Amino acid sequence: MPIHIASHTAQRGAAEHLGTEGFQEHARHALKDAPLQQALQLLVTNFVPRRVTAMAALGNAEELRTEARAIKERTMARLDEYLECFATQAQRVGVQVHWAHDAAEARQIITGIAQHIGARVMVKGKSMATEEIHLNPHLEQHGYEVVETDLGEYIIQLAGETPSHIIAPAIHKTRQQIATLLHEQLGTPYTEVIPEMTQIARRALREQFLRADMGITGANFAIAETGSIVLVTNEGNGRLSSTMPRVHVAVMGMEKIIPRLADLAVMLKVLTNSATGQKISSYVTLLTGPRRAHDLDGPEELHVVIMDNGRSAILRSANREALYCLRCGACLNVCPIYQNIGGHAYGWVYPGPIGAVLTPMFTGLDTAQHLPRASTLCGACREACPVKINIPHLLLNLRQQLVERHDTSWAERVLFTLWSWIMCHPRLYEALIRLAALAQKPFVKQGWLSRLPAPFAGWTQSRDFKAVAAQSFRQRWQETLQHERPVAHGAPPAEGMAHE
Amino acid sequence: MSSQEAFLARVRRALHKDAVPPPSRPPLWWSDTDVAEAAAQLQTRLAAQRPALIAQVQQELDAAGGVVVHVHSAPAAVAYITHLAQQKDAHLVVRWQSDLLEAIEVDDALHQQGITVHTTALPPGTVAGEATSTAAMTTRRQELREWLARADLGLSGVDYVIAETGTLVLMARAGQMRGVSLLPPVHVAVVRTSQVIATLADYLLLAQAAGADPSQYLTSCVSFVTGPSRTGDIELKLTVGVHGPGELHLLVLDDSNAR
Repeated sequence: MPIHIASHTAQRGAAEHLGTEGFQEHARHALKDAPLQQALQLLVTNFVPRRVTAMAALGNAEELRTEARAIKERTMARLDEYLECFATQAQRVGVQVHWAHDAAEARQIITGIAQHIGARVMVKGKSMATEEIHLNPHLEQHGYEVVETDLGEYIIQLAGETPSHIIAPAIHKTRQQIATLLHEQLGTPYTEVIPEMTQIARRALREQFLRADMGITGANFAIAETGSIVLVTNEGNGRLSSTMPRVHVAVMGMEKIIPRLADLAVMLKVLTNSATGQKISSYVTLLTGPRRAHDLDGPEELHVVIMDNGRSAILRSANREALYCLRCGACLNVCPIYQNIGGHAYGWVYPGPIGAVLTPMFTGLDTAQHLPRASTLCGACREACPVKINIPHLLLNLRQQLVERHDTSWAERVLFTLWSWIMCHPRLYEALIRLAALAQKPFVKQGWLSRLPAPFAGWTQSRDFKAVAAQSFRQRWQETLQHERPVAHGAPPAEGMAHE
Repeated sequence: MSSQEAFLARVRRALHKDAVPPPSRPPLWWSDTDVAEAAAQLQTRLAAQRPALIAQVQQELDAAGGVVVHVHSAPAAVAYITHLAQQKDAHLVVRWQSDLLEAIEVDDALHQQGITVHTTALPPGTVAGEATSTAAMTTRRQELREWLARADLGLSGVDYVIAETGTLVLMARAGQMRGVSLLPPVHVAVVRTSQVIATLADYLLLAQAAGADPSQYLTSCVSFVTGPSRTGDIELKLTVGVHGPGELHLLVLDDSNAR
């Protein structure tokens, strides 16, 4: 077993996720974290308009999203066949295909390969799949030197932290923090100039690329028709990791399959435009087998590790469409919750709205029960999603499961029975609303209810309510609005409003 | 470790399918296009659009931070390359083995400036597609790797350029090493106007029309390169040259003047 550990590897603490149980606590901390809040502001002002502009410039974004979703639907419906086809085609061009039921098996397969080829140093391209199986600590425990090579991932590896965003992993760190980190960890002169910091990282990492025996990457797509895998990067870390070391291992969730080579054109377009607002990323690498007899570079061996790790359970569940996710990060950027608390508070690998769906399904609903509730169900994530995943609906499914799973209190059951009865009796409802408008008066501040007395105190503990309007919509409708209804040219009245 | 059968059986159960798939399944591919015919039609269409496509390459690659230069003759291309090499104070250039690069006679011009040029050719006596000595290949790979790690400039051709995104398509094969467009700080590529196509979908179709089997029409690595290596990982500030080349130059050479 190799024992060589580079000095900067040894100094690092093990990067650990916060865990999902303390979500509320972590969220409160995040709200008070000034550098994080600054970084999140940057994220919102950068990523969101870039994506919106890029999608609009496509001209046919809506059709592309529909088509991308249809490709994913078709793939999932026959996933077993496409997986089999991928494996057959990949093996024909010399790929060694491995099947991992869970994270432990995936880790074991990878250390098995490393042991077999006598690897010591591993370079990694950016990969969420390897985050998911906590590969780095495992490899380091086994004495391997593991170097993250995506600049953002490298920074957080040096800091002993975990990524806080799917595609901008170090978004939570300021340039001053990174400057100090590089200076302290690499012993290079302190600089806050970003291009200089980038060059320092380039030199340090180039050395690692040249000495590494094994390159580990994820895969953005795996093409059943050709047995190819596709890596999408901007820096070139995926290209170097899959070219320079003598063995390349790609780790992927089983949902990464797309059926045909031609499907790549659609999927790639929705991915990069949604992720960074780029028409295409700087580098897209289509790998079909290891190097061939007359290739002058490229790895001798290419291994693809296909992971289930809880995905077949998602496939079986009502939340199957969570498997359509391309990991573009667009839903994070637009989410009012993510925008305020960042990625770490979610406590596990996948943050944001899609994380709130995936995490409970990967790690267990009970421990992650706060996540499906950490949403206003505003639907911004669904609108941003390149494959139109109905995230609010999936969150509701999880909430429903939580309710069904746990005995609700006697008081809650009575309250909701009463509420549904009131809702069925419009006159009573109207009377109670008027009463509420009067009763709330001592508690309203500038149109908001921020603190209610018992037994309603719990409702306002972590949220503000808009005060009940002095005049309800029904009242306004009856008194004035209905007489103003345009007759000749106006739009027809909205459904369900006019009948009473 | 899980076997393929056990793994796929779980997936089948999740899909509520029988353990054994029915013998007559509908085909996995739902496309009924005749690839060869579609590719031929595409080429005709592309030929008519070429001037517009070249303008689009210019616009798109510019936007991605690349430099596009339309050159009207081989000497103009060579002049651009030698000037750039001088500007970068280059000592070592590594280039693809390619008919186009040999036809424009760029090596001599670089030699005259005292620049060493290595070509990513197979070991002497080796013919692409025929059996070769492993030892000779190993030595060759090792020396090329060392040269590339030190090279100041990588010079390549391309298989295609995609106008829609300004993307270079580079297919690794004998003579066309992946590292040329990846390791040196500057990458220069030369393309004939006839190699410019409209979309990624065009490339995928043309590729598939070139052979019956994926192992024929796809090489081990197809790199799609759009501009220099870039990152926004520090405060989302765009910075180039993090791992790959910090500069990308594309010389577009009029077909009639290539030789």
